[in-house]
Amino acid sequence: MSGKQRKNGNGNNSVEKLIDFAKMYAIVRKNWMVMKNDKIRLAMLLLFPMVMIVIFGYTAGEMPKHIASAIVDYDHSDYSQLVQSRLYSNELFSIKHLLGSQDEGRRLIESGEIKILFIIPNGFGEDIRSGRKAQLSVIVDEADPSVAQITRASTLAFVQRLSSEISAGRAAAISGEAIEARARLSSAGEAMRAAASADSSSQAAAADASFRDSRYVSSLTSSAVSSTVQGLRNSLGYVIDQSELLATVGVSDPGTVLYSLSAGDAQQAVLAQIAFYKGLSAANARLASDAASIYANSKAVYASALGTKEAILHSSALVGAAGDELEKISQDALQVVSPAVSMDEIQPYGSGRPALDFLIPSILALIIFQGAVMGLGRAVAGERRDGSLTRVFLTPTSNFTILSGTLLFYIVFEIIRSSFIVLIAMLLFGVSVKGSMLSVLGVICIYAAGATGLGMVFSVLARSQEQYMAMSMLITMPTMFLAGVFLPVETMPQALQGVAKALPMTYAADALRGIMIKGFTLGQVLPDLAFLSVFALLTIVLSLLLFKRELI
Amino acid sequence: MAGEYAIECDGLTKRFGNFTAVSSLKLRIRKGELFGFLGPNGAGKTTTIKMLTTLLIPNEGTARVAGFDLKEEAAFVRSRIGVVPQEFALFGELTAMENLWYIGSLFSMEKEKMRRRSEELLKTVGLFDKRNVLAEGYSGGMKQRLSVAAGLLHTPDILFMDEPTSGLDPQSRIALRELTQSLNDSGITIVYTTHDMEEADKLCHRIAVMDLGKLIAEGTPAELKRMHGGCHRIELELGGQPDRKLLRELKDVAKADDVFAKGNKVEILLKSVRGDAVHRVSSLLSKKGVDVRDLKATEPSLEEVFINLTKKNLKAGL
Repeated sequence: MSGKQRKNGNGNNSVEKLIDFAKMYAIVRKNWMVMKNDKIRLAMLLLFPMVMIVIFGYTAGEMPKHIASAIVDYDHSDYSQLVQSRLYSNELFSIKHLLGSQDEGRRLIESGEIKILFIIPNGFGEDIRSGRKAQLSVIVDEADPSVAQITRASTLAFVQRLSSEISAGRAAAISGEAIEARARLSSAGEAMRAAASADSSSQAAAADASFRDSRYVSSLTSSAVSSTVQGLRNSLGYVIDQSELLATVGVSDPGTVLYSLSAGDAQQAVLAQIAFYKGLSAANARLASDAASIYANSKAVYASALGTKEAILHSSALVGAAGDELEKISQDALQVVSPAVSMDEIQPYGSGRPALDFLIPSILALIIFQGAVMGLGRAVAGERRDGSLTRVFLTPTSNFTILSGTLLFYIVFEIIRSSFIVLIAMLLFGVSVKGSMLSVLGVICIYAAGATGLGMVFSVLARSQEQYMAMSMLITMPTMFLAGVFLPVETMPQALQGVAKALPMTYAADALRGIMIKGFTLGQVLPDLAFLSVFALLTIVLSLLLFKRELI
Repeated sequence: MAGEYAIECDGLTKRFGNFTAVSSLKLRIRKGELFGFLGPNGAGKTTTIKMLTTLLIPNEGTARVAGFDLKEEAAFVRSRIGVVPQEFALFGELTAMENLWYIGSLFSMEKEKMRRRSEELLKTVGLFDKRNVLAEGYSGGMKQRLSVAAGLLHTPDILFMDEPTSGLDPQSRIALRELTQSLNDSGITIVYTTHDMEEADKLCHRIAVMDLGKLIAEGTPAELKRMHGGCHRIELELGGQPDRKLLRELKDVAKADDVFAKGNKVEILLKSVRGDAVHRVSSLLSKKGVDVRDLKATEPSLEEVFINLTKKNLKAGL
């Protein structure tokens, strides 16, 4: 064909552009066509997260019921009776024995017959009554760490509920006392007014009676107020002392998990109670001064025996004001009762599989990560191995375009797949999303992009899918165990906890948890998003830099 | 593409670590030629092809392929060459048409033109009826033909075919060889690597023999046979063991370069054709009344050349 010029079929289009969107689109479409036609691979890619979520969801989230337990009651008070009855009626525990001594209980734990031993120490009831810190000791069988961990959590929940119940009872009692005091005060006021309208000879006797009455009322008021304060202190003590109680149970850090969930709300209840307590102190002081005035007035009336109508009426008015004050206290006391009780609802242990609400974001983050990091073997490594990538290298297409197109496809695919996983979790486990679904999607987009980028780094480096799998295992396997889904991170050595904190999935889980459970907006999970964005950017840029025609 | 040569390279060298896969290759391939690369496994044929097709970057040397500099204008080179790689290198999960669509898109071909060209090529390679079948269902020969179609899609000036017939059954092999021949007839320069000497002999205009990363011989098949010990031979099977005298007479009458005997078999070697040697041998034998059971004359083969060349090299290498 010497001299004969073959016309090039593509004219001047053959010049290679660094970024060629038409070619990127072709690469995305090709990847989709390949995946769509490989039904088994597509099915596996979708089945994998489903199987994972079902297994994780049902194993990790399920709370054990009827944990074999025993009680040692050294106290034998009304309160220890209450604890016993609540333990018996709680379906988390199955009380097998009511024992006489702690040693007996320890033997039962060692023999494996029971997992938990509750010890109600001597003076438990008295401590509650007098407003001191009452302690319930719990011994947990450590032989089975996962059961021990769950048991601790269950016990914490139980103690929380119990203390709420006790403070509620106390508050109701205080409120009752306040009401009674109010009634006495108003009858005293009536008596005073009656005395004021009577003749002066009887005035002295009336004043005397009124003095006694007001002294009585004053003391009654002050005792009612102080017992209110005491009772509230007591219930406050419960809220605050839970962490201390856990220390006796032997948990160093009571699972950031469960605790952080309720901590916010519990703290609010505590703050409300403290505010009320302060108000109450002020009211108490006012009442005391009122009572002092009443007393002074009555004393003056008594001393002169010339009591004037006005003095008595003034006293009567003061008594009335004191009565109003008390009524307010009784109402406030009743109000304080409600947040203490409502703490039950904010606990993660309300539903059938309570821990699941907390774990689902972790599980989602883990599955999305595993899926993306393990699913990119074909993307570059596989195509390199079977030569189809070579074919692409033989076209005038820049490395940047080739990898961007491939990344684009896999990122979009992983985002869709991740959304699908969230949907499955919602349908299967009734996981509700408090925040906006768009926020969830936003987190997933950034996170899936990062995980895909990481997978791409491996895919770009590996010569074959086998090498790719080996590389990705190096990351996915440790991630699985550091994810806190199977084993609590808190019980791991410090160094491993540090590694867990550096994992992108920790941040994704945190962001998802914030949005799904606490109803956060994207703005509120900004630090997590920042970390995930940096991770995504790094992995994507790295994969682009490492993508070479020739592997060394 | 101006100039006489489709491919010209000088001092082309590729090293992988300490191992030199191709060393200082100098080569000229003319436009329209069907050029063969021969050589044992590991000779550097595929490395050479990979360098010439921009897949590997040479450590040293320069090359112009289809008129463009290999290093400086790699993208232009790619747009002017087609490659049929050793492996299938297409997507089993796609149909023939889809595979060609993908390749064409990466050459920025216009959609309608691409479709017409794809159909035309699939007709040429005999896959038109199977154009919408997933390629994973194709036989080895069909895959190879689709691969050829993919290589030709963007109407390249040069087509590289890297051992396209290896692993094919005889029918597919012959069909592919015919296809290659007709493509070359239509004007495309073809660079063809193979192990099959007979194939190279029949198909290629010129052949380069490579061994241990070096070009050890180059020329037309006839030139190579002449220059590198390709022998004509006359093989005899006699009724009994021949004596020395007979052997000497045979050598003289045939004007042979050498005569060997083993048992009742005799081999007469002639480095070049010398008249009607076969006729003279047979008349000598009948004149002497020798009992001849079989007489066979064979042409020199490229295989012999190949073995001779690479054997030498193997010894040198050791």
